[in-house]
Amino acid sequence: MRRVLIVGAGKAGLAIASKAHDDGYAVSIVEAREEHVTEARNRLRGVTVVMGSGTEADDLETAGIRNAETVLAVTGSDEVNLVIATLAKFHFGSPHVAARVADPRNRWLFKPDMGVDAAIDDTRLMVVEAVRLLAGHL
Amino acid sequence: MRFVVVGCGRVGAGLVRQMAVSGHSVAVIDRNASAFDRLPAGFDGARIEAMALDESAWESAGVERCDGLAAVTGTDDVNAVVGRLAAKRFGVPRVVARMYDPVKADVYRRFGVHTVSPAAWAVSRLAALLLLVDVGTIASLGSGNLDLVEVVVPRAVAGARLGDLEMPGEIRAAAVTRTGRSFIPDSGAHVHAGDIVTFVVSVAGAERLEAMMGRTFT
Repeated sequence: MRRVLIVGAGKAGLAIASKAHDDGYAVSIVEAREEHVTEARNRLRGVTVVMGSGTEADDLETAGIRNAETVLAVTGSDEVNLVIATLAKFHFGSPHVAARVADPRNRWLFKPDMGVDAAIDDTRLMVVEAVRLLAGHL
Repeated sequence: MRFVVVGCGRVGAGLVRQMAVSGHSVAVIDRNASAFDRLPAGFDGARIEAMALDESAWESAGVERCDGLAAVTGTDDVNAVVGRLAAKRFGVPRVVARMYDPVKADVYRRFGVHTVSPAAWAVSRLAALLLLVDVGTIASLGSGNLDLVEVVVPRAVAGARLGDLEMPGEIRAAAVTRTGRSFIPDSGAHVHAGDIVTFVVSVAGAERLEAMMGRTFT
């Protein structure tokens, strides 16, 4: 089974985990905040939820980063997502690493030299969608 | 030379002062303008009020052309990202970063960032003070895995052979200073109380040395 590790169990992390699980991926999650860990465990059956910090190599290892084909860093903090991506790519050698851009002004940082194969830019996605909607109404 | 300091807290401002006194040109970045109050009077370098990772701030600070950069904000993760970015993308020849977490400091050392972990440093220094041993780190060598330390020989250790204090690959005595004169000792030399001995030590060696200095030699 293809394995995915998601760091951050906020709204985005939970929704991605749920969809990936339904699509047949083996999903594990790392989350630092206790109430979010509890919520993730209650809502997502069959998903491994590890309480820990995504910027700690030990916690990533506990969550099985070495077996994960894809790592998604989707916390709300850009520096945290970048540290996760750097650790995943250069410390653990993860094949596919995607990181969320929380603040669009930080977009320039999310490049392969920081371990990021793909940037998920919330704001840009929203802009694209909004422009598409606007165009449809014109 | 030209340096950039990211983070103008106590450490950042202290660093700016030291570099400026040595005649270097320094640009400093901090998100709070009030942080610049810590800078010495007469500081004439660039003060850039911006987030640590702001692209245009890096441009106005001249990171691309600088000789060295220090990442000393209050957050490990920010310092890690700043350090990695400066070293890898901007090709800054010397990059140093403060990291509170010694484990992360080790990881980033391998990513091309010279890291300093004040917690690990403070622990060994405080332990030394508790043991009433006068130990001071003079310099860090390489990426910080070897230190040059000075030890004032306590009464309890007086008379010991230097060779008994040394440990292959971990502790080596480099110099002895006695009544103001320094010499390069051989391993058979005996130390006197009050001698200042300069050792080259590994991290493990530093701990071992302090433990030894707190113990009585017969």
